[in-house]
Amino acid sequence: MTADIQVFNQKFQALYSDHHGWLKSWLRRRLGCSEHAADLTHDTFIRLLSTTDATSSLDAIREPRTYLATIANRVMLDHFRRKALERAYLQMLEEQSEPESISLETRAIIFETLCQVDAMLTGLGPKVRRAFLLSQLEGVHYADIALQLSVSVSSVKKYIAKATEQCLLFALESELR
Amino acid sequence: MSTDLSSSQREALRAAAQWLALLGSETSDIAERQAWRNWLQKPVNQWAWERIELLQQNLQTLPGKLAVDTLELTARRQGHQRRSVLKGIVFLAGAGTLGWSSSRCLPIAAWRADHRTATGEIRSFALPDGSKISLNTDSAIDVRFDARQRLVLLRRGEIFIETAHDVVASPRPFLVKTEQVQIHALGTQFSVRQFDEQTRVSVQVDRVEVSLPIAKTLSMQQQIIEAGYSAEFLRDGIISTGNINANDSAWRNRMLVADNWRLDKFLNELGRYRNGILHCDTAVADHRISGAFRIDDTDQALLAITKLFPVRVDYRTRYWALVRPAKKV
Repeated sequence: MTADIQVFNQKFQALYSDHHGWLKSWLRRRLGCSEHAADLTHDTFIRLLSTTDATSSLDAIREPRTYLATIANRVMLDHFRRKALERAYLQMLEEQSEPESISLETRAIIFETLCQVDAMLTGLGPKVRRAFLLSQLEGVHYADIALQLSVSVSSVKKYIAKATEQCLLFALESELR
Repeated sequence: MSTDLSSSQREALRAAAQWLALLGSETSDIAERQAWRNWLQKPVNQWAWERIELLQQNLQTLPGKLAVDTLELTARRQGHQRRSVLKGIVFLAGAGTLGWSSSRCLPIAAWRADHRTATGEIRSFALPDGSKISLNTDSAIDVRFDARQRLVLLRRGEIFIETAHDVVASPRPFLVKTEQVQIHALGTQFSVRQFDEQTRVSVQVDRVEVSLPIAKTLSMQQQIIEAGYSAEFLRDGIISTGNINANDSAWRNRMLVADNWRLDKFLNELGRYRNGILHCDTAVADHRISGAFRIDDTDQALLAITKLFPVRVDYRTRYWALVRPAKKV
């Protein structure tokens, strides 16, 4: 067991020293900022670490730079998405008429949940998304949702079912990883 | 990966999602509930339903409206498919203007706004402090007056404001916020219009101070606009200033005033007051039009146009009108 881990660590270290400099430049070119490039390089290797479970899967990487670039793209996407959510969240908090007295900790937890929900709804059409959010987060009646989206109530039900199914699969997938 | 789930598990999850959707309806009945209970008997279905309950627990921690607005605002700004980063185009500090929905789509904040006007409706009323506000066609605002400020959020459309003195112990600033800027009224009459990607501010009396964030330096830029002037702003900067034009306030008298406008611009403006689509053929878009037209009767305005120019109006449906070159005799 220990020997396996040692081998894995060695291979991972090798990957890191061979490619992290290249990855940082690659990211810096896309981001226009070296500070962020360093952070996201780090995040990319962390993500690589968390998705590979054995030396064999490290060996299976034929084109390390292409593979790293693919992971880095996802890391960048998530990073910008998160930043956008943060901006929107702060904007909404600011616009509240009576700012709630919730602790910073609670606020942070809410934000993390928002990021999760946002990720779970990736790829769903705007109407599917909206139907799900209005019904599940706000308890809006289906008839009202149907009116807002200019669709039938049976479409609203289909949208909610579709989004819910995707959320369930997403949640399971992240647990199984 | 999802391939770790058996096909019966996947089926159970799909069914569970459908049951949730059915039972959540306000018209769901006892028969449905009973059918659901029967379905729940199988252990794999029980498991799937537990996953639903777990999901619901998570969602319940979120502050309803705030959460929905946050998520929808982000989706609108960033696009639903996250395409922008994959194309290699990256906006680090900006709001990510790719993926803005067109003004034809009603953003959720506008739908649920405190005050809305329908197409062609113009309405005036008083704000809690006595200030007067008018909403033009198809507009929406939220009013947020509290101890520290008098804030109007322009969600959509166009407004005119005549501020009143704040008769409280410590007078609060009067602010208007749009997608692009924040406007501080300095005792005035002014109008604000929210376009798809920019804001127009026109000042009739006194002055306003417009603030907008400068992304690169993380600082705020301020611009004073005096009476008789107007300015237009993008998200990160001013794009034009000029004299106020007659049309900026004409709508309050239910008029549309064109000053040597291109016909396509005129029809675009006229179309704001009509339900449906008013389209201008490129062949006739260049014609120049001037004059005052009544907003209440847009059909009359269209008729006038057919007399002024060699054009005709085709009504494809009741709500779809096209202005095209007149048939040659």
